[in-house]
Amino acid sequence: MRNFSNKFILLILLFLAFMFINIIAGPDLFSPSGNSDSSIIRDIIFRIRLPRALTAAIAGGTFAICGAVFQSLFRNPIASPFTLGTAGGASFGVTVFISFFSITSFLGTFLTSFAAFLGALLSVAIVYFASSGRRSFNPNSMILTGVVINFFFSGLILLVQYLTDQASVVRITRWTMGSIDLISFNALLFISAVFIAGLTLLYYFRNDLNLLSISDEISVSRGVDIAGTRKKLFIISSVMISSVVSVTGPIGFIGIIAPHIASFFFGKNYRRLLPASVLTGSIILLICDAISRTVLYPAELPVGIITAIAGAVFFSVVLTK
Amino acid sequence: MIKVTGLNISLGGLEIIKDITFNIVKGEYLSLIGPNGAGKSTILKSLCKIVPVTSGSAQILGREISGYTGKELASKITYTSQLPSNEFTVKELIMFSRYPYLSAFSSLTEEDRNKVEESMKITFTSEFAERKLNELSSGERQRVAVASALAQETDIILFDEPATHLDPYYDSQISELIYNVKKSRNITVVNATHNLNNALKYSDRIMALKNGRIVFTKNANEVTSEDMGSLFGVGFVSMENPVDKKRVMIKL
Repeated sequence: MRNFSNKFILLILLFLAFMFINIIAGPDLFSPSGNSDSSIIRDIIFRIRLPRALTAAIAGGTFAICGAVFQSLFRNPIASPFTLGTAGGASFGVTVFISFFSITSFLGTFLTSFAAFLGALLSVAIVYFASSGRRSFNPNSMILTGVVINFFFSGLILLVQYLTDQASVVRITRWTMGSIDLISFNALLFISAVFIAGLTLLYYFRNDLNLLSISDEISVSRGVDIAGTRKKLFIISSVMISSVVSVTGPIGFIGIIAPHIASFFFGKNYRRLLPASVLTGSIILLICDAISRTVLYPAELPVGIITAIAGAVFFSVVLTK
Repeated sequence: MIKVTGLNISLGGLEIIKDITFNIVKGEYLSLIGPNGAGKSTILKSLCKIVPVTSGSAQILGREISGYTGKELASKITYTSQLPSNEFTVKELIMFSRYPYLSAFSSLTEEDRNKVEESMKITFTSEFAERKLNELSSGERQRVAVASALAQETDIILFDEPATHLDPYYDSQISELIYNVKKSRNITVVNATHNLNNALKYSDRIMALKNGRIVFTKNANEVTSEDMGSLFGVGFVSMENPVDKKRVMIKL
């Protein structure tokens, strides 16, 4: 089987290594300024760094797996929750929500996610209906519709920012840059639960995803209920994306790039591509997060800025090869 | 086996199939012929629910196709045309044909793997099992398409131009293969084709379509060169193949 199990072991080891690096990276640990007290170090590791690393891993994994799913659904290598406007819709939902409410409690996290989900669902619905028209589902026109939806929601987000008060504008701007700041234990619990449930459900659809990535004709001939399966996959991905976006803000490009790197090493079969994308996406965001925390020390760069710039460079290299 | 009554299909406001009625019995080999755009593919696709039926009835094994779930229908009937280019390996692609028999979190069983191996063996595709689809010649890809139809183990297989792009050697191999598998597994075959001589040689009956209507349905040995001539609008002459004594038709 072409040593896929060896590759998976290697990928998992890489993941653990970057978890470790992400946790110890940054000058707060082991600094000469007197942080040698072991209880303080333990507090930093378990209360700050570990939750943050887990958030990065979950967010990266979510964007990556949803990207992989969207690439099959649209049969398009640049389909992702961002190109299709799902993340834009989710961002709009969050923007509206945080300009009115505070989001520190568990209920707050849940409600922000729910607002994000409504926004995401709105964008999926618009993409879906605008591009379906009289003829059945057409992946290409959906991509174009997605691009338009993105502009639309960007405009709406700017509108909300313009209308709201100064403090909210700062919060929204900071949030839309995408960042993995300190998040509450409750928020971490919530996104972990959604993440694990989502992964399980998506893995359940691995055979459908394989067939859908080929053509509608083949999928139906083999017995896939394409309309129903598409809807289910859209909803699962939207919930996963919404829960993460509500916490970290929109972090672009991982959803496009991680599945490409994963399929380069593991092939296009979703049985392997799904878990490989998750691990690859986690690793990328762990690396970017570690960089964002150290590169401008003592200031911290929003990680979304790093993923967007690094992602665009990587993508142009792939395109021109 | 297949019972179609008063079938109409419109796509995008265009009437493609107009009031078609026919019956196909178990174990029959029916060839579907007719000019380009006659509606051959559309009929085949509608039987697998790839294309929606506008009105009329289409029954498979005595049951309306709308009453089947996707997986149920896919264990009874499948549609095979040219495979689109993709990055799966030949073996992976053929394994996907076992989809109707997989449930929830189950993976492929020994039986599934055997069926896949057998289908590859009889279609001469084993030798490139690990190559990717987009690296194959169109002839090789065509044989993979036939292999995946066989691996699906249905009672009925609908072929849409199974032997296009094949050189004379593989054209005979695949046509012969379809005929032999049909006999040994007692499956029902509907074959949309432009290869009139293969249709005359292998099929029990020939159904001719033009502009979405049936022009004639005849036993293969009763089709005349005049039938073909008026169907395609070009002259044909009929003669006997001196080797196997079967009738062939030559376009003038």
